[in-house]
This record gives sequence, C-alpha cells and structure tokens, in this order.
Amino acid sequence: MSFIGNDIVSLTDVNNRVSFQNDRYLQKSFVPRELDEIKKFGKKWPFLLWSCKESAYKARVKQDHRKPFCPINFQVYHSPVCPKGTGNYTALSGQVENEGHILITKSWVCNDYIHSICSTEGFDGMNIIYGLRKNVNVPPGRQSACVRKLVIGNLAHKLNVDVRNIKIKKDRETEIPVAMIDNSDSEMDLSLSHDGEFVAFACIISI
Amino acid sequence: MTATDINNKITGILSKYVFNKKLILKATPDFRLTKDLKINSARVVDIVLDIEDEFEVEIDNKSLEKIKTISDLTSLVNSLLSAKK
Repeated sequence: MSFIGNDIVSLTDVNNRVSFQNDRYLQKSFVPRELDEIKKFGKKWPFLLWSCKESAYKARVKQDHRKPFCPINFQVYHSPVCPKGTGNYTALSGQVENEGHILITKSWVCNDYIHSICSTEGFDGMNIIYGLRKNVNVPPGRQSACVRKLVIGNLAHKLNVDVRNIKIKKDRETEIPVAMIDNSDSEMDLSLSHDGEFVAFACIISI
Repeated sequence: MTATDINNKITGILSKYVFNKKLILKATPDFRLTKDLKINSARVVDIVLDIEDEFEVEIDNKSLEKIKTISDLTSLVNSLLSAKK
C-alpha cells in the first residue's frame, strides 16, 4: 500500500524566515550534510529540505500513527542539483530516508512558496493529483476550510462527481484526512497542508 | 521552581504559537501540540528552543522525538531540571 504526504512552505511567512535564519533552529532540524547544503545552495534550501521532511512525515505517519515528527530523523537527498522547470518555478526530485525507509519526493520551488509531495512507494504508475492555491486575506483559522474546498473542487473535476457528494473528514484519532464520496470512504489516500497564505493537497486516485 | 511555575512558563511559551487562544485556555496535559493546539510543526522546534532558554536546559534529539503533548513537555522539563540539581 502506498501513502502520500504533501507540504507547502510559505517563503514570505515571517516566522519561517526568522526560524530558518536561526543557527540553533537549523542544528535541531538538519544533519551536518544538510547544513553544508544550506550553506552551499542558499536561502531557499532549508525551506526545501523542511517541506520534503514534513511531506515524508505525513506519508510515514500513515504507516505508524504514533510517530511524532522529529525533523532531524528525516534525511533529505537531492541528486546533484539539476533543476527542471519552465516559467517561474523549479522542479526537483529527491529521496527522504527515515529509519531505513526510503520515500520519494517531488518539489516545486517558486518565488514565494515551496510545495513538496512524497510517496512511500514512488510515483511510477500512480494516478496522483495535487494542487495549491494562494488565498490572500484568508484569516488563519479559515485555512482548513479553504484547503478542503480546493480538494473537493479538484476531485469533483477529476472523478466527474458533483461537489455536493464529496466531503473531507478527518479520522478522530489520527487526524488523517479522508475523502468521502456519497457518504462512503473513497479509500483514496489524501494529504492536506497550509502555511501562510497557501493551501495545498495531494491525493492518490489509484495505483 | 514549583510544578505550577513550570506549567505556567510552558503555557506562556505555547501561547505564543497558538493562533486560537481559546485552545490554550481549555488545554489539558494530554493535548497534542500539533493536532489539538493546532501549532504549526515548524514552530515545535521554536518551542523547544524557547524552553531551552527559559529553563536553561538542553533538549537532545532523542527527547525531541518524544514530544507530542503538553504533558510530554512538562515531564521533560521536570526531568531535565532534576538532573541539573
């Protein structure tokens, strides 16, 4: 069974910027090799590594619901940087190692955000949808509603289902989101995220 | 430092990172930082750094990976302060 995680990191969020400039914060979050990469590749690199770590955690926690997020235990590897992309983003592929498990990541680096998705079994042959939206002026407390609306709209379009028949619920114990279609668990694996003005999701439609 | 002092200081640190202040008012020791208090996971590391500064202790990675709830933080601070004596 394959699980997916996703994470969006706002590059303009003041708290993020302050944290990733704090040496002690970096020491607690990244291993020495990652710290060397941050020195080498510049200001956006810690944001990229973090989004990969968190997206990997969100996939791994579905395999072990009790797992807490300890960023330093998720080590990110990108091949010698060969960015691909057109327009105003750069796309990167990578791997995350956690306790002997290797997970596969894809990331998109833009001027004001980094979005990463991660799968426990890679992306080959999978029908995956993902997306993000920038919501200017949305109060922080309304971000969850915004990301649900984004997912429902995308799923309705992809599956040709009326939006009124799709609901996003969270498992009470694990807080893992579940897409309900016609009041039944769709069994599609779903991951939601938001940060600052951004909301994002990734979903395995089928394997 | 009494247990109440420790709890109050930890609550004060957490409240900096909780957007919905009502959550911190009704928080119980078993509240999870990210799930129940809705603290962004990137801020959990900030909380650990604030606790290190406030209590003049050092929290290692082994301890960091065990922190899920308010109670985990309180127990950790108590044990670190006891070890300092």
